[in-house]
Amino acid sequence: MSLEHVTAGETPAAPGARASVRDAVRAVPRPLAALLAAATVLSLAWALFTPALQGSDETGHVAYVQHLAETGDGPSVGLTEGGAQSQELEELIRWHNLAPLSGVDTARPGWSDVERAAWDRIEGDLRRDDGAGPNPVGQNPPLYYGYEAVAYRVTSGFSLPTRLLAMRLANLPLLWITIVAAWLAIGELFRRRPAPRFAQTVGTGAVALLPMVTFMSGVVNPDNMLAALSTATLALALAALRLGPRPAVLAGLGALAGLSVLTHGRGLALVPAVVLVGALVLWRGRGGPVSARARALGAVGGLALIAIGLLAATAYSNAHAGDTSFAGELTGSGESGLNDLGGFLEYVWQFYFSPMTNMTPAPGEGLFGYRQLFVEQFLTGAFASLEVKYPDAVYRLMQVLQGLGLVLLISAVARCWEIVRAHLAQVFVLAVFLMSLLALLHLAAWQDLNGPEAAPLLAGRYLLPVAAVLGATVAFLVQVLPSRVRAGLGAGILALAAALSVGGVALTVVRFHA
Amino acid sequence: MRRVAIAVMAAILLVTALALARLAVRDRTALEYVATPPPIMEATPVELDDGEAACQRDVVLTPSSQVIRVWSGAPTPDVPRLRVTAEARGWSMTALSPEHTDRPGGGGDGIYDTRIDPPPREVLATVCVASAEPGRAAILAGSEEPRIVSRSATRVDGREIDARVGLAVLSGGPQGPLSHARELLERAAAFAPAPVGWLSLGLLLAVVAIGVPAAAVYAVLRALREETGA
Repeated sequence: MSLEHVTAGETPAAPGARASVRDAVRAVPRPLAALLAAATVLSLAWALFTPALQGSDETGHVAYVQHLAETGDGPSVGLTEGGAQSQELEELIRWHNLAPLSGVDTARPGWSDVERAAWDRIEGDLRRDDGAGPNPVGQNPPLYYGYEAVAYRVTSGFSLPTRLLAMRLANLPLLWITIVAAWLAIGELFRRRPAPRFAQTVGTGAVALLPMVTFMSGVVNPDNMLAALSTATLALALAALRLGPRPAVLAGLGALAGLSVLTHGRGLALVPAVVLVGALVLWRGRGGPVSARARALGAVGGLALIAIGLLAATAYSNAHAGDTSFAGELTGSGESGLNDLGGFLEYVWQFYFSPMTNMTPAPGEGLFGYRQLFVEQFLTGAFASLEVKYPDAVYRLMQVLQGLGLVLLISAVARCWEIVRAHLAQVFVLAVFLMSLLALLHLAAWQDLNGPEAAPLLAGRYLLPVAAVLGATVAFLVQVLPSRVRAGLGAGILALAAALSVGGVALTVVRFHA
Repeated sequence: MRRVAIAVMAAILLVTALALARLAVRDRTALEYVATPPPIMEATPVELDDGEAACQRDVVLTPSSQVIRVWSGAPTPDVPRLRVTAEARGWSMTALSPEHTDRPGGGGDGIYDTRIDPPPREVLATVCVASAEPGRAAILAGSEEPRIVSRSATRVDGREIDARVGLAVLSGGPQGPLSHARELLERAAAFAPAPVGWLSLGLLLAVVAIGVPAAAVYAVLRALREETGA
């Protein structure tokens, strides 16, 4: 079956303004509803079985939310009269025995009644508003933290553990947006409506059941909002190829990119992607039904919204991080490696492949490469503060499977080149989103490698904004393979993702509570 | 197509179920409380001469506490026995590490497992460790690694030292998670807000184990059915 061989005639899930909520819920395709339900259960499990503050850098993110919610301003990176955390958070860390826990798998959280009683005795008398910094994530733009502050404020009359859980659960809508946007993005890949259901389901399932997606939604971290916004942007970008350069579409792309920049420094990756996609949409739409004036209006509006996001984020970061760069992602300093293009290219080569004989080894101890980033920390998963891992055999198996998947993809592209060529614009959009994020990550990592600590700041969760690109690739593969193979492959991918997710939760339970 | 899909999913989920069953019954150290984790990469020896004791406060001991574990920092297996004391309001105890230091848990293998008489109720105790052999210094494994932190600093004769001595409390010999499933769920719920309790967490775990794979299977079969119109 090819991408063209799809049936038409199904109503898109878009209830009118008068449709009731019940109708809207009924209009959700059943496979999508099943995936949303599974992801929600997994997210709840991660939120409840991962002890407080044990997500990646979660202490800093929670301290940021609390200070913002309590004082109306975020914490600073530098020294202040306050502390890294509020007195209340410090005491919870003390009595829940959380300090030795992060990343140390021989430690356990406090779970005794006597510790809980000690916490209960003091919690009412503790300050909440003195966590002004130094907070290592204080330079992050405030959008996600402001969103989380709503959950914090709504539950401000309850104990801190309740507020922490509310903050984690506030990620659920972001998870749902990510999954629904992935569904829509994959649907846009197919020329006819509705999209072929099986490929769309498997592609979306590869996102919804990716263990890192649901794990991250169970902890407080701006990567959740960035993933939701990036996936929504990708869906709109693919839809823009069909809708043309309407002002609302172009402005929407700009708004989403601006919001991403306001969420995290890695949101910068969306700016070049959106600009390039916007240029493509404008080029394709020249001479089309949208007037030149409307196109110009949309383009200017979109760019203005990006600029507003950039300026606001930069202003915020500068105010809270002194003279360090916007969101700490790019220092722009020649000393940090940007003037050594050759070295950068050699580092990128060695990230993916074995070094050539004349290459200089990248700085730092042992290179963090493709296997660690893509296979272990993104496709398979490493949880809590990366110390909750599957057995090595699982990572080796996943490496083999992803290798086979790449071979299958290359052969499918070669075999179905005519189909790919007919969808070059969609391929371009997917590639631009992927490459702009990878370029930003490698550039930032190269700078880190040339910094004083000579260690790259890279983690698999940084790839969550392009999880839908993975889903789209899976959907393509599933769609173009012969029917028996595609059924087995698609079912296998979803079963494997579900198995890894359940296994990840089980490993987390055992690591922290057994 | 449905048969192929069902067969593939059944095979993968069966293997997963077996792996999960193994995880559930495989024995693990019965940690009840970790006051300070052992060193990760680099140990700092903490030498306790005659009469010196290394102490930590706010160590949780419960009626099911059986063993206090510390790690030896001695370069050779020839180590002295240890005296472990614990004190809380209205309760105290003293115990000696195993008589045979060359046996597992006797210190010669790097681990001192000292059996204790547990308190009658949960307490926050001050636990001290000292050499039990006059004239022989005890060397314990401490750590100054930034990742090794603890609720209470290690004090030697009342003075706070830089190194943090690894100290854990065990509830007995190794056991599989399934053998104390309810306790495990109670631990997970310890600091969780109501109505989260061991029962609701147990139900959630069951939904994860059964519902998530079921949802994946349903999504696949439903999508195949919708696509083929069968």
